[in-house]
Amino acid sequence: METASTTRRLTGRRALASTAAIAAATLALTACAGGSFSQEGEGAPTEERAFRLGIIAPTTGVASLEGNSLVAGAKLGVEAVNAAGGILGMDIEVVIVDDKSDAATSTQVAQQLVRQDEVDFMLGTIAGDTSVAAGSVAAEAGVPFSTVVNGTVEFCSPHFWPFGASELMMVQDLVPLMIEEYGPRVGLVGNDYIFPHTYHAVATEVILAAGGEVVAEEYSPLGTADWQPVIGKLETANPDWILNAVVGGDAVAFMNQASQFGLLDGRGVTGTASQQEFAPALGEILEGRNTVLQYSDQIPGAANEAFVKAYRAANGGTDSISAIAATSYEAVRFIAAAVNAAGSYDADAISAQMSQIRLDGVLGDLGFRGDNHYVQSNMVLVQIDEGGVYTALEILDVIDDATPRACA
Amino acid sequence: MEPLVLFLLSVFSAFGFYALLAWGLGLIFGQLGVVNVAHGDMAMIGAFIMFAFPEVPFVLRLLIAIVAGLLLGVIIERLLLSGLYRHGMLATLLAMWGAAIVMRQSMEAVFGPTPRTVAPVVTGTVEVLGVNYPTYRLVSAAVSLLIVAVLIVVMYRTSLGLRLRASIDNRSMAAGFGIPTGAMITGTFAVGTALAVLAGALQSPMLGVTPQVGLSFLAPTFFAVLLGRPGSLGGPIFGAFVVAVLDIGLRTILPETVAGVLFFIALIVLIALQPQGPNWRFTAWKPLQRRAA
Repeated sequence: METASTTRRLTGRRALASTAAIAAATLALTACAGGSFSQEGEGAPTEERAFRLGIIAPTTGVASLEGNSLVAGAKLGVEAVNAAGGILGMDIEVVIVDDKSDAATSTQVAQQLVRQDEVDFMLGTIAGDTSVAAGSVAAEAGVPFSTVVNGTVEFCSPHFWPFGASELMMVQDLVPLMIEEYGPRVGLVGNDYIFPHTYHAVATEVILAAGGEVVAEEYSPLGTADWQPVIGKLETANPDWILNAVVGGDAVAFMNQASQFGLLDGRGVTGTASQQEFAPALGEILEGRNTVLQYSDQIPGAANEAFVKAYRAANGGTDSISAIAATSYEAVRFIAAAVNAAGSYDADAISAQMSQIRLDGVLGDLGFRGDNHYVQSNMVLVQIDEGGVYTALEILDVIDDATPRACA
Repeated sequence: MEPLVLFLLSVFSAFGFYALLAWGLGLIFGQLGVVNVAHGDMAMIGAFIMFAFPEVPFVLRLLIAIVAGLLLGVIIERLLLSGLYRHGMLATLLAMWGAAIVMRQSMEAVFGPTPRTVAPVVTGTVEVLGVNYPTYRLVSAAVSLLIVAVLIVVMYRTSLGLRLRASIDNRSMAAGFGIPTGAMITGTFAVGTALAVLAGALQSPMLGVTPQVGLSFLAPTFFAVLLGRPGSLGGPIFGAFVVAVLDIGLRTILPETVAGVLFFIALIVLIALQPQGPNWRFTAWKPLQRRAA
């Protein structure tokens, strides 16, 4: 999918990115002193105890892969912030709880964080229903809360700041590129829960705007082991390419079976199954294919290289680093910068800064819209190369998602 | 024509998998009265065995899975179940529920939650009446059905099978004839477990192998067993066929989630209509019973 023009843009952007990254590393080191961000109302520090960060993640259960990535990234973020002076001159205190990706458990542990541990900020959750559960507890208690997974959470509040890319950010640049390369006929497939439906609804709008058409749309319950009826329906519809929103083990099963049936021969495929966590299992099936992600460990720049080095040292392994890990890392740094800028742990003061500061780091130019609290960050066009290497082809422009959402 | 051929091939593929799984469960549940809620997780163990030794030839890995399944079955039956039979079905159900959790957590501890994949022993497709169908699916289904057929022959045509059926039918009388009933019960459970492990091993190239993958197999397999006559050895095979036809048929013509709901409704209705399973005998003429004057 790389063209001469994108190559030139990448070259130019590569130089800019390197420079920006070096600056970001410097910014990160000075962020805690509050000297490198554009913000207003920086006050003198008023707190005498350490800032308490509560992390809710499914470290066991069906989403434990994502949950452990979240924790790994967040821990590195805490280390980076503490190494640079902490928050208001003190090291962050962290409390980590396991919600097992169950909404009832999320409510319970969030209440524990609020009432027993008296955290100043909550970060985490993976599944949408757990985000709503934890977010509701946080909102009621007036504690700021952030998520790090992609996809719009059916929830918002004055102190809710989701770092994950919205559906529009995931598809706005990807869909036109796929239509240009493979054709206008698109097949949509996903698991049957909120995120895939939302993802495909947004994608459908973008597909139609780009001159494409949706020729098939299939949703199968989580835990589907045999995808042959769905594959048969897709084969009958004969799309030029397939956009999938299948997750977890189902993603591997679908892609393997689609490949075995020959559905992917000569067709494009992209979507959630192209994410880093599936590359070790899907191997050759993903090679040469493209997708748009919020993060790739191959993005050039000092900030990302430092993060990758620290992540490998702490967690080992050679597989591609997931976007969840990078997002949670950056989220901790951003939150720290916001609190330092606010000068206190007051939720209103923190939230006022969350919508004002910008952080240039592993997610590019990171910030938030003040009205709907959608994150603003660079997405990355990647190509999946041999060995599961997610080569960054192009750093895409920041997408400003103005979709209305009531957060006041 | 092609849609019909694809449907039939898909049913054959699903039938092979469910037949192997259901026959093993039929041994454990139908013959021993143990509600084995860990049956799907036993299949999961088989899938992970196939993943864990990629350098070992595929067929040899299947043999390893069978041996591992037999050992697992012996361990569970001797250490967990043997002392619980006298406490009734609920006790054995709870024990197997605990065993299921242990299996899932153990696999997660060893392999982690990342979905895994297993390369099939044969790749590519074969053309059947104009339809290109994955070769491995057909081979896997054929092997599964062959194994079930061999086991049925063993059960009904060998002295071992006779002793086993006798032990299950009347344990005390069988013991009186010198049949080691304890060993027979343990062997039955071990064989049932090995069949589940083997089913998962054969299915592994089509799965995203995770510690939770076995959960989706449990309900259809239990329904397959319940569709047959209680205690019948052929019943689970009939049930597996019905499950395969319903599953593939409904999902071919309806949206997936709707098909899933109707699938279980249909199975419940079938079981409710024929709780004793299908009666294969032709209606026999019976003389009218005259009431005594």
